[in-house]
Amino acid sequence: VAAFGLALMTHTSSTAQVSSKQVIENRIAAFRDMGSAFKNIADELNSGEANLEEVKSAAKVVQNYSVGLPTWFPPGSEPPPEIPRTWSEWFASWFSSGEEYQVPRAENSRAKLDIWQKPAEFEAVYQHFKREADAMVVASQTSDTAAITAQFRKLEQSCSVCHKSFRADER
Amino acid sequence: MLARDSLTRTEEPPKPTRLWDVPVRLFHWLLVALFGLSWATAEYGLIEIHRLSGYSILTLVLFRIYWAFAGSTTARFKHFLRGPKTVIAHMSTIFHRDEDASAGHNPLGGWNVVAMLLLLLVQTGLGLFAIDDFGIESGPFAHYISFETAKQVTALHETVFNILLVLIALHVVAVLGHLAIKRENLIMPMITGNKALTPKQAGSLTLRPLWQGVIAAAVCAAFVAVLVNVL
Repeated sequence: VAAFGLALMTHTSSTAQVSSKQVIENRIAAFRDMGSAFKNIADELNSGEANLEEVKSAAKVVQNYSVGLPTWFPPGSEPPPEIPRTWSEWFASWFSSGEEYQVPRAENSRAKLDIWQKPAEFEAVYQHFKREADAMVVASQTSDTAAITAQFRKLEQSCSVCHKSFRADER
Repeated sequence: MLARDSLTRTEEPPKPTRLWDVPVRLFHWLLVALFGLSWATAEYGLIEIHRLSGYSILTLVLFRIYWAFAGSTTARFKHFLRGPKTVIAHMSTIFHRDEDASAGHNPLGGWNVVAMLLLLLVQTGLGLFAIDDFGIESGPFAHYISFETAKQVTALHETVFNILLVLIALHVVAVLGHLAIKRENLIMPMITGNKALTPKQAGSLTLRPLWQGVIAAAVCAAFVAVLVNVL
């Protein structure tokens, strides 16, 4: 799945024919796949008797995705402008939940415009994440659960740093 | 003279009567505090405290449901859950003082109480499966379900919270409405436990001993502790 996702991402970013809507939706799907890998690692490490093979393969998934991440935000793949909603639509949206988690939808992209407007800063937090993702793979090849857990915390931190600056809280 | 005598006999003056027992009042104000704590800790991402707050709310709600079957008179579902006719009849008295109103939850408010209790049960149940961005800070049962499912559960956890906010707003507006329109203070009785009631309004109120509530709450707390640690 990871390899396929990676291939898909590389493909979409290199061909101009793919609509920016599709680029955004592939991006959301890839982030979710990464989220799933993170959950697998966390579940293993929290279980008390971690299956380190699982951790290793999930760390590899994250690393694979980390390679192409900067290409997931080509010019033109900014989130579409918010459609003005009536008061009743806004109220209804309060009570309709989870819909956005069933299928990735471009309108739900939480990417901030700063990604395109502050490329140097984005690159810096990306490089931080990349380093931690690589280090996670190295750590996961040992059987030192404490060290793996510590590195996992650092990796998670590197995600949060970027989310704080470049991801909107809600959409 | 005769007529007036009989009038004074039937309309005995109200006197302070124990309306809400200690467990109901403790439940109510602890729930207010913990609901606020859960809200704040979710907003600021303090998930460790949020989890404990949620476990405490689950304990409170389980206890309250038990107490609704075995507690003092006004705590019981049997006392305040009324049929649609009674609810509609009550709605016609919404804007004026109803001297015949019985003590405790009114027929409309009683249903809101049940709705809030059930939603709080659903809400804490969903919380057990909810996750953060990474599936790292999670509810204790989140590892049983996939990332995608857990994300949907988490979205539902937010939705149910919003519905709870609406029900709480209705509850508070009704209480303030009683104060402003009916000149009836419902807040003090929930603090002191006492309200001035005529014998007719009071009916027959019986109080369960406090120790029964304490034991029931302890059993609920132990159940939740075992649930979240063992499973």
